[in-house]
Amino acid sequence: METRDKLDLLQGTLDMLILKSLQLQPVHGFGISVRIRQMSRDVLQVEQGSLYPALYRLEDSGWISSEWGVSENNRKAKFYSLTAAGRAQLTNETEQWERLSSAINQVLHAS
Amino acid sequence: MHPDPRSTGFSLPPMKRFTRRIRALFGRSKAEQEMTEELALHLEMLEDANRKLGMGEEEARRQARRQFGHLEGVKEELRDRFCFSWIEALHRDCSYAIRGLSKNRGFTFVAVGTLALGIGASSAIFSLVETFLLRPLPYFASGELVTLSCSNPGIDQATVGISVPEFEDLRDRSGLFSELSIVWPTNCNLTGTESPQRIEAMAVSPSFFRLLGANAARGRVFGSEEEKIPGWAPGVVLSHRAWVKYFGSDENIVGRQARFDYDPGVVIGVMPEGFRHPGRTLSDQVDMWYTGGMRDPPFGATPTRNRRLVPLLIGRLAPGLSIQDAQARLAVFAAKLRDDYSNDYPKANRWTPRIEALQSHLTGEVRPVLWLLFASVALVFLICCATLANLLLVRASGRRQEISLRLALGATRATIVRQLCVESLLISLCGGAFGLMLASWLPVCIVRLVPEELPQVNELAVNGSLLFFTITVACFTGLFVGLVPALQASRLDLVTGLKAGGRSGGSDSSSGRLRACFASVQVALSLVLLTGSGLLLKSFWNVLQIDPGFSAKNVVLSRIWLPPPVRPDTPQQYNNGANRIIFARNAVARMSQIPGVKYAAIANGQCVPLSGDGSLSQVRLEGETSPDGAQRMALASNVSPDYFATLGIPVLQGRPFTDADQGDTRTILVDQAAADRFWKTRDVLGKRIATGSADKPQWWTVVGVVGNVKSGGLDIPDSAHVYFPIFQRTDRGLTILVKTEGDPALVMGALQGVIRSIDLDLPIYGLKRLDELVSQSLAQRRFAVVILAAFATVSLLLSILGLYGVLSLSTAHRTCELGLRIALGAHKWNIYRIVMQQGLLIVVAGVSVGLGVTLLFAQTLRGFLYETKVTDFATLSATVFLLSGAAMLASWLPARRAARIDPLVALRGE
Repeated sequence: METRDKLDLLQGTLDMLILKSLQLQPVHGFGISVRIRQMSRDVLQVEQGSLYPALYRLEDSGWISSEWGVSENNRKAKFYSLTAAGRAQLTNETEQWERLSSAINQVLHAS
Repeated sequence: MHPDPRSTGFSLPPMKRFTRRIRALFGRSKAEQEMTEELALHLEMLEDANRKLGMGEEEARRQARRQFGHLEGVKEELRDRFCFSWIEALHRDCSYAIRGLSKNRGFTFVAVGTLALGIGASSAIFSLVETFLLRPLPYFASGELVTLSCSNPGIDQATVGISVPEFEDLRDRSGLFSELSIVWPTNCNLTGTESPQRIEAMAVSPSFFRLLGANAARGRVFGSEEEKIPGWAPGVVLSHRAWVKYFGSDENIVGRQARFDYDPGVVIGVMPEGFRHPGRTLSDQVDMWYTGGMRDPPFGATPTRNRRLVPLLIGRLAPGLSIQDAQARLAVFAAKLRDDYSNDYPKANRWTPRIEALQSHLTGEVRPVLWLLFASVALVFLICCATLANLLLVRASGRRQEISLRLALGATRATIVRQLCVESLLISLCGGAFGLMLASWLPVCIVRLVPEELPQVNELAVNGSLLFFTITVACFTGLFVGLVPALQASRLDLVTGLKAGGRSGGSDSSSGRLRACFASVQVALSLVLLTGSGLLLKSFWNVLQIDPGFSAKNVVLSRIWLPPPVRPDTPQQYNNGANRIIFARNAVARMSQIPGVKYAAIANGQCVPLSGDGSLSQVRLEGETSPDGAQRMALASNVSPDYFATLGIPVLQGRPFTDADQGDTRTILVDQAAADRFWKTRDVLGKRIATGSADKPQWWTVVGVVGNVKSGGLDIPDSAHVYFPIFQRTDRGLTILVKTEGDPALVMGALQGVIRSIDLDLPIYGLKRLDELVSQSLAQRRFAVVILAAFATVSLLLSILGLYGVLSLSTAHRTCELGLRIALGAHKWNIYRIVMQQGLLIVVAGVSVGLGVTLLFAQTLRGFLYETKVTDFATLSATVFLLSGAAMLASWLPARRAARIDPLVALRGE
């Protein structure tokens, strides 16, 4: 039960990261986790167990869409891509995150 | 802290998620397959990555799995996204329950059977109650329909007729009714068809059908043409049944002519098949309605207020008027009438008109019986529920190992409870289905026993509300009755439950206590039912013991009506009193000559025992100067000399009538009740009574005293009864009474022939044996006794079985302990005592609660009892003994089994 509470806090953040990783091109699930690790220079390692529920949730909300395709090693894989609504959501969330994190920074560095 | 992304931006409306789930429900396996593929691929890629890092095959795979996390958990969570998990769970529970129930056929059979009985009986009674008491009558806006009757409570006259001026005042000047109609049940002779028939006729006002909102199926109903006719209109309306039965479904019925009591009439309409007259008739359904302007005989061209002929009115209240308001305003209006016309309303009479809703008027006599039925069936139903609860507890206690296992494997308590509830719901729905079948034919049987003619009998059918009621009851039973055992069963100590001895042994005490509780409840409820039926039985017995005052053996009765044609151009034969007397003498003489006839008599008025309507006539005693209004009331009959011999009524003093009592002699006989009430001395022969109006009295001399006869019903107290000789006052409605030597069936056929030989056009009707009449008068009481006794027997059986079950099971659970006791030297009787003490406790608890409930609700039964106290000691003690005795027997059998336990076998374990 505790893991679920933790997830709730990080859920929004994970969603944002996933959307970002899909910005350039469609990627499959494993690829998304690799990309996030790459982009964060190995700092953020997505817990695989929470990746797929997040993907399904994002698809339910209509921000990403999925399609079956062929992966780089010729295996059948499900590729996810951003929808138009997803792109707008990503911009929104990025702005909000910037505002929030700068506010927190100010608080932490105040004397 | 961080705003929920789902609440901003453009998220899919919930509908789309819902439809995705619905779609997935049908493409279930495909979605599952895709998910598995996707996750498998991810795992493979993790493996590959690990291998690239230098791990071996096995190591790579293991690490991949560890990195991924809990695979099954993820799958579960994903599955939640694309299916209704609760539907899945329900489906699973259902199929599991079905499998379990079909393996335990015995249990399922008993459980379903018990519920079928309980639900079926309840639904049957509900069907009756709904049809007759709750459903609105089949007329337009029937809530506004009322009846109006009048009484003179000041002189104990329960019903007094209504005169034409009173009717017109009520209709036009009271402002209470939008429509008002007279309703006057009569019967008449129908001639001009194949054979003369006696038919039920109803005199109504021209607005009657408009009042009910009913239209004819053929032709038309009464309308404005009939309002202009001063006397009886020639146009009549037939019922569907009369059209088929007497006119042979003649297609040209509209306009066909016939004679009604010798008056020519013409048929103007036929009512539709389901239409029934809303009210009591003389003996059968109404065949014909007729109407008129009430300005001709029998009302007279200028009707007087004093001539009160119409027995009842039906009306539709003015819009928006409630019955209470109408009654209050009616009381005010009546007071005004009494003041305006004080000559016609003597103060001592206290003339009161009364309004009653038509629905309660019609069902008045059936209502208490139906509510009694309802209460009894509710008790039976509760007992069935308790039985089911016990059965479920027993079953659950046998599955303790299984339940403990499931709890240990991670099922929540709610899951277990849900599964058990689904099982009990299935049982109750099954029971409900069978119960519905029972409920579809049981009401029809019951209605045949209820001796009342009700206009809604046609409507008794399996309909929507019955289905709804049955399903609701079944569902509630399943859920609530199943809940308690389920809650109890899921509260387990896992350790003891999983042990090998998990099927029996030790900590069953809470389940056992609950079972004993339910058994006590059953015993208590059975006591209530048994006591109720015991009291009714005692009343019935008391009523049977009443001496009716006459002998019904081998007596046949039949009726004749000597018709009074109204029109001057039709033959007036029986309008002449002398002709009627000649007819009567002729009839008696010829009937006495039929072979096999011992006595023959002819009579009218209140002359048929047990079926009088209680209407009293006014008489005055000689030497009693009564102030205005205080007259003596008595039942009056006109009888022929052999009347008392025919009915076996003893002549206590003086002599019966002879043929000499005619002309100016004016002799009468009185019964013992009249003698006691009027004169208080023993010596009444020679006393005189006057009839007629105060200024022109006719004096009659008492020449004999006869025994009391129950005139209204067996349980109605005696009224004073005065007998006049028929050959001095012969009315039109005559009753023929014939006592035969042997079986009356032989004579019954000959009677019509005899009457035809005197007059070809006279039908006889209402031919029946007098002992049938006696039996019918007891019909309602007998019905209540039979039904309640049936319910009580069923409940007794169920509670005895329940008790037996509880004790059997508890003994089985205690096999170890009892075996130990026996091994240590306990005597057989000690074992008996142990087991039966348990039974005794249950019985004592049940009986005390039952007695308490009985005494609490006993008063409601009072209306059904005759000369039996509600707390009748004999009945109460008899029921307690009966129940305790049966219960002790039920506990003796398990005790016997317990005493026979072989200690070696018991101690070794089961």
